[in-house]
Amino acid sequence: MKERVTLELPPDLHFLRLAAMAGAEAARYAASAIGMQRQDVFTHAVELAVSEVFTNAVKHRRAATPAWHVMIHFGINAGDLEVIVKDRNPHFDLDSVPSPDVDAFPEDGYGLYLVKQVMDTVTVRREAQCNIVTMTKTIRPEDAT
Amino acid sequence: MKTLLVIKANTFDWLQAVFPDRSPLLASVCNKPLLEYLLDFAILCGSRHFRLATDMPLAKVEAVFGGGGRWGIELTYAPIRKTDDLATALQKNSRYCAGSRLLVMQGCFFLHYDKQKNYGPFMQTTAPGELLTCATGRILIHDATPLKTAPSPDGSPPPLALTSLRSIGELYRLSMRVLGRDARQYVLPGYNNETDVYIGRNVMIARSARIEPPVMIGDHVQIHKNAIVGPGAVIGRNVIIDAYSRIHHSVILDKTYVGEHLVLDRKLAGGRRLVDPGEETMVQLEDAHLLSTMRPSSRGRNRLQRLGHGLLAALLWVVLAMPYALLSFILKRQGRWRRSEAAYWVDSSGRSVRLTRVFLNPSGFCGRIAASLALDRYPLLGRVMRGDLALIGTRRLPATAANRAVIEADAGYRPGLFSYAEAEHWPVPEYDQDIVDRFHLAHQTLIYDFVMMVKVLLNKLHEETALCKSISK
Amino acid sequence: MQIDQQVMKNIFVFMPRGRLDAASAPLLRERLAAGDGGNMVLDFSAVDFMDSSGLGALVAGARRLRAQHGDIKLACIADTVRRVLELTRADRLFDIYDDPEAAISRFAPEKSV
Repeated sequence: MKERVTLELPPDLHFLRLAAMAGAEAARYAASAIGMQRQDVFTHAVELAVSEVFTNAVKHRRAATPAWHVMIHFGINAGDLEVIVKDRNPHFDLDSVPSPDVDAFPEDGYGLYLVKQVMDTVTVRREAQCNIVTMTKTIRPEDAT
Repeated sequence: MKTLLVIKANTFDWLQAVFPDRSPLLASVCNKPLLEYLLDFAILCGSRHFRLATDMPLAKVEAVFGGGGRWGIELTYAPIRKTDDLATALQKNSRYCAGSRLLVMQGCFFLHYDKQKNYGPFMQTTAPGELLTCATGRILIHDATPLKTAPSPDGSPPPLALTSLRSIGELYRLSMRVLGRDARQYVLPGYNNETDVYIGRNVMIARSARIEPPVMIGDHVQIHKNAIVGPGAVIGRNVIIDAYSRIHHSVILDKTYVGEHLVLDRKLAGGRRLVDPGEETMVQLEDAHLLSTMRPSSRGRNRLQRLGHGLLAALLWVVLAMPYALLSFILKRQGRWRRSEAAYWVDSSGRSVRLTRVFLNPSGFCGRIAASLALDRYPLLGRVMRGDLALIGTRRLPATAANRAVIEADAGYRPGLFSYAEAEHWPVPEYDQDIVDRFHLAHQTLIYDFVMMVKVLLNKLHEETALCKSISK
Repeated sequence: MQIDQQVMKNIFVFMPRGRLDAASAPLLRERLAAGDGGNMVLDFSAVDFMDSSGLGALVAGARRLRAQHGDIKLACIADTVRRVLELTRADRLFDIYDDPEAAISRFAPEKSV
């Protein structure tokens, strides 16, 4: 692992922009480190994924629970970026979240679908009362200088 | 001058019907996307702005073409709807279209031009209106301002023609024509040191294989022993032509595996689909020995293989125990060793196990030794001994629903501690790795695996040396 | 987030400024729902980011307006917004222009009720 950045944010939408833009900056850093030419698609993908996952963490928070923070961790390696988002919400199973029927143009339910589209791998696991969403995006060699 | 290309999905129905998984906007003639021919032409006309307006998904095109920087132009994208006509498309791009002469290309066609000619003056002076037309498209000039209709400098317009594209047959004939006759008119990909031979990057040609011009070979291609490629062969990217096969007057599309002892003459093949352009018929092959790399691996993980892998793993476990204990301790203290766990599929029955992933920072003396000995894989040797993983096999797939679908569709998933692609030092993009993995899985035996393991370890050693050299630059 | 509003040729033109995400989507939903039907143009030239929450507000607004025989057109969308519309195939739902005036002029003249 080359670089690690960790943020702990209250599960509040006021911090959504900060979370998403941190994702964009981490991606920009990773892309620049490898000399990637077209960074905008890569950075946008990470920004979007973080925005969606953080939003979910906030949305599914049960009001009565004691205060906790959403942890967002960026692992910048040579060639890929790993994003881990950890929250203390009730367990959720990635496979049981239905994909939206895009032909029916629903008003909701696109969040995780978008994340899976823009990130290379997305996994969710449960550990010590926390949901841990791990996403990675590889910087492809043909996109590097 | 600006260029607007308006393409609708329905003009590619003929292609989607046969190759539904391939992006129509990236359809190629002689390994060069149709779109790129049009880009080159627009540049020859003096246009530095190019906009693609389409109702088709743009992600893959954008991934390939980006913002046009590679051509020194500004390339932008505009979504239109299925029902939009040209007038509506122009209105939706009115800001782009305003203020300069506009070259409009509409439909699905091949444009014949000559890169040696200068189209700029002709385009600047020709009257607005329809310039060329064919059954499936047209080219027009739009100009809001009145112009002076002076004749072009040499008195005759430079060569320009359109060919309709309505079938795979037409695409095939075009490829043969460009390869055989018109190659010099276009900028074609590949190294062209020999007349009529274009070879891409990372191409492996066995010594006993024969290449007969005219031939075009894309990037990341393997041509195995005694194969004959050409004359008249267009081989796409990421293709494997297995031993003793012959490709004549044929087009092999990207990401295709052509099995051993096959003869393809006047055909177009892509994935599992084989098209006869003359008869306009298509066959989908079920036996992946022939086309694509899929086949039910009858030489799969039998007990002897598992035993062999397990024993070799046990040997490595013993031999590397000391270096592992020492180096992992040191690296952990230096903060260059991190473990995490993730679930991976281990077979096609849906069984997954949690595997330890080690992230190892290969910098520093200890880091480099550890990386070259592949010590980050050491914790998984136990899994090999237990039979969950092979020592060398296909790439391990994380346990996601998407990957499950991939495994179920494939017939050869045998996750290994190392992948065959690592032994071949193949490029990173996933599909390339998969094709190489499957190819080797199709040919593997216990001895073969042993040899590949040695290659992997040698590669690791070499990699760390090269990586260190590049880091220290 | 701020949403500027003006009326041109009897068409509401909204111009959201900033990011269309879960924090700002409720405001957009509210503004889109406030009209009495009719036609709208959303000028996105000051929007640099949109996620699924913003998209949801957009789709909900469009559905509501169209049920009332109105319509909504989009103008000047950034590449980042375009990609989200494409990934969700919501680009099939909207007419997208690169100039708000062109979008406005495409609406049929308002009939007086």
